[in-house]
Amino acid sequence: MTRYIIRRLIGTIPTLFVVSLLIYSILLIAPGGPEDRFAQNPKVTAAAIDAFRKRWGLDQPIPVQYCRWVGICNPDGQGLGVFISDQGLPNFLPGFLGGGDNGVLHGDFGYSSSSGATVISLIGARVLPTAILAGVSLIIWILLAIGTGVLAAIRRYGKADTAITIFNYVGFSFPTFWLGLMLIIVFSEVFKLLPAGGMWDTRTVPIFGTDDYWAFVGKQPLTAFLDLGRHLILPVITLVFVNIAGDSRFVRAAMIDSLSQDYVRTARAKGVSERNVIYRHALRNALLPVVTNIALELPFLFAGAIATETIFSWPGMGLAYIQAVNNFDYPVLMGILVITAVVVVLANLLADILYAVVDPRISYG
Amino acid sequence: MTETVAAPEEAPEPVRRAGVGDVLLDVQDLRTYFHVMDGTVKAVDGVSFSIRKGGRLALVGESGCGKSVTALSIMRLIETPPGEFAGGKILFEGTDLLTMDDRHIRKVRGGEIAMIFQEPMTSLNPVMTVGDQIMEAILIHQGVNKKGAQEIALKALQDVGVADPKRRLKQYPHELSGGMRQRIMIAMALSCNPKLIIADEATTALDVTIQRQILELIKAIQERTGAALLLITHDLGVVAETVDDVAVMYAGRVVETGTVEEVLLHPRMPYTRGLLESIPSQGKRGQRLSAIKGTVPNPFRLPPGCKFEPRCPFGWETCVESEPELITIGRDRSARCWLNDKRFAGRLASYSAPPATEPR
Amino acid sequence: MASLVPPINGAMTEDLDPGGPDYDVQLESLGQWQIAWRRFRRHRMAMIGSALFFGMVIVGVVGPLILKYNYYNIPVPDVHVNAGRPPSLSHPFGETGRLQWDVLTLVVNGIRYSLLIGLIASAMGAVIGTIVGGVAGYFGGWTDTILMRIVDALLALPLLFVILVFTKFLGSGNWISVTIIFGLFEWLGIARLVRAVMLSLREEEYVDAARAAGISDRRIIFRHLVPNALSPIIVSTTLGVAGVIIGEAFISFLGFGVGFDTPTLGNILAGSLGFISQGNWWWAFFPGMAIVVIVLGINFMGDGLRDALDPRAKI
Repeated sequence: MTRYIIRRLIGTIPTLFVVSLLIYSILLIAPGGPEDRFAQNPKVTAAAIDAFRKRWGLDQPIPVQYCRWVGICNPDGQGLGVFISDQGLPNFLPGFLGGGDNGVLHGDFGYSSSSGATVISLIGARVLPTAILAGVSLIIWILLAIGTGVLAAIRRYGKADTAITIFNYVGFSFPTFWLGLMLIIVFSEVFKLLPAGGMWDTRTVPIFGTDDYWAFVGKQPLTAFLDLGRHLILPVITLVFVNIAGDSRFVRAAMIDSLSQDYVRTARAKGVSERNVIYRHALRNALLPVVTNIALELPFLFAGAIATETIFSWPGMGLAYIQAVNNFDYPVLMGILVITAVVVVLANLLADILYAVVDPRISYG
Repeated sequence: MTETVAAPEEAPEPVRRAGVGDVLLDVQDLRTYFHVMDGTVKAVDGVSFSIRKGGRLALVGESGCGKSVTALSIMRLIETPPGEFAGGKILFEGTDLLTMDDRHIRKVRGGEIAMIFQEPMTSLNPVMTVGDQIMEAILIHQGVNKKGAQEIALKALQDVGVADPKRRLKQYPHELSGGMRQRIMIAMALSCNPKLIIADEATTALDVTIQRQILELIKAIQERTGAALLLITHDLGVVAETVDDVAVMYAGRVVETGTVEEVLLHPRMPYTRGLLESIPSQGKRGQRLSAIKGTVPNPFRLPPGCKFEPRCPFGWETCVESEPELITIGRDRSARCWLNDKRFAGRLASYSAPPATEPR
Repeated sequence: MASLVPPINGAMTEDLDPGGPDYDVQLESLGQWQIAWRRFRRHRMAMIGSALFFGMVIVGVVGPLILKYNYYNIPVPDVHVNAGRPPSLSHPFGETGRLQWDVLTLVVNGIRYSLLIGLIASAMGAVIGTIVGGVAGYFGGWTDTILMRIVDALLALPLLFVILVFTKFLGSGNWISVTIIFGLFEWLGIARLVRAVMLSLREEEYVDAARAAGISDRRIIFRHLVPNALSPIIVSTTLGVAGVIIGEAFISFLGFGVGFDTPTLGNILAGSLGFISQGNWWWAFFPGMAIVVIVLGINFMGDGLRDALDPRAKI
């Protein structure tokens, strides 16, 4: 199994290369770039823009820019020396082996063209909020999806099934951002019960992720927890409501299929109680495709989070993405896109692994 | 064999008895219907038979005649929508299974009546070990702890001829061959000492050589434990070797009953005779295969008279107009055919041409 | 027990011989599409969904023509309220902020354009996807590999990013360019679907028979194989319309999609954002509800179509 995992991981590297090259090229071919930020500003002269472009290496041909970004080319090199690091060895080697220290291969994603911070630190600060939001939503909607799916399957065509089906379809039909908007209007503007956005109460709690924040958590854990909870409620409801439909229907279909199998009939013929027939026999088998389906949905979770984070001003990766798009902040954009691509690849791999773990019939050589 | 033919108006619906001792299972006028989009299918429409303790009965017929549905009805394994138990009783040791509450029927299933299904490939849960599946039934019915259940399971595996049972217990169904899986199914059925074993086409899905082994196994077990056996099959060869009594079904009804010799050597219902004649055999080598002409009737468009009449070369107007009852021909011997009615004795003569060979 | 030999007499059976007086079974024979239509009609949700969807289509087509206010001629309001006035008799959906447009007119026009974008993009996707998928699946080998690698690579591109880039090329804001962009994305899914169907159908015997009879590949693909793939194509395209409508709404909402001169349900919502804190909820509520109704209708219809066209389902 480990060999299979390693083989798969190695196999994805070329794909990642190609995809990142594709994205990078498209980005750079398109007219305009990071300097567009200054387009509307009359105070920035053409010479200043040129200097800006030179500083960020934007005047180089695209292959060179890509090469530097990946870490195969030395930004200080000239001509063919471009492939050699400052230490005299091929640039793509790890730093401690004599290679360069720039580019993705060396863990350097560059600097944000709008804020100047390193891309890594910027993205790093956004990962945890997205993880919290996505993680909490995922757990809640998985549990709800399994519950409703099983219920709808065992009372097929009954009232519960119809109600759950309609609920699913309605939820699925709501645009995420609109639902968030409506929730804010109702609970924040009209009823003033819950905060309209953000991740923490800026008046009482320090900025999330900073040392001050963790100190605060240490001293007043309950307040911090409740504060986070209050801010989580609406975004989580938004994400859960829209996403539950897909999984619920899937669980229902998988359960119906499972319940019609011969081994369920055998279990009943042995005198197994109906409850155990449903859970120990049918659900256990139905969960196999459900688990892989969930793993495959993980990338879409990030996409859904974009809308939610935007509406609720939740400082996560989705919001960072939108901000980068608005600012034509290419390094940040590339950083997030690469990470997304990696997540997609890992999610697919996870799906396959889970399938093998959960189903005794599967084994990978 | 005495030939007592009763007039159709007087003959009560005779009940098939088999084996020695008390009656264990008494199916009386069972009716199981299915309500589907295009109408109601009367899969089982007035089936009666009974089995004594230790008795062996085969329910024979082509696909679609209702024999499997009958077996599933006995265990109440029919989904009730769209199915419906529209009438009749199933008396098991005197109690009607159809009106039993859920708790008790679950005790009966597996504990008193055990069923062996046709498809060993799909009848076992693929994600549970074989041992867990066998022990599941034991834990429900035998009131032992896990260790005790394991011992019983091991013994059951030995009884069905599985070598190295300790290792098998930990294996998953996909690691076993078809014949092995069927042995596991039989072990599962046996493990709780049932009084009645129902084998629903238990060998149909297996290779021919394995079929033989499994049949011998079922026979041996049945003889050793004294359980009664209800064998559901379409294979007349299997019938001859395994049971004492036969009931032939067609279009949801029993159409002939008797001992194996009576039915297979002197069939009194043209359908049975047709089944026997269409078996390919040594004597017919080199000739074309034969079959009963026509097809099984459309369940939504059953003929008003005898259901077999459209395919029967012996039929006449009475057959088209009215459906015969099960006419008693002898002790525990009956046939649902007007030929056996006293009034039509003349026609019976032309039907009963002497058989080509007698058995040794 | 002795093995019993059945009586060999031959009176009951006949040799299997064609031409004997067999009893025909009379069945009502229905065409494939008639069966599907029957099943669809019985599906209550599907009928409701169809009513919703086609109702909205009618609204989009007829609405702008019969409404009091013309979208392009905004009357100057008598009372100036910066946040716009709530729903009233003269403005059933209320007014927007600032310019105080009639929201009902706005929404009806938005429905028209959102539906146009959704339907055209999906149709584009269906046509291109079927061709590409059909060719890839039928010919297999290198054609298949290359085409599918392209599909995979394009699928890996995030939508938002591509929109951003394309709007720089094509100039932002034109609803036709946005439609084209979505169409260029929609075909990917359909291509994969059609290819999968092709791969399995290709092995069927009638393909060999057709080829042996000398029928050209193109004819085989389009006259014989594609009709069999039609069911999943129809379902997928229908659901695709919903996807495009929501997708367009999202990017227009973010400011990247259709410009404000052509109203779509998405950019109406974009405009409403700033005025929510001033208490204007109707400007955001009605366009969103319109999206929900349209998408819900499509989803119900798609569910019904899926059940009706499923060849494995019992009658």
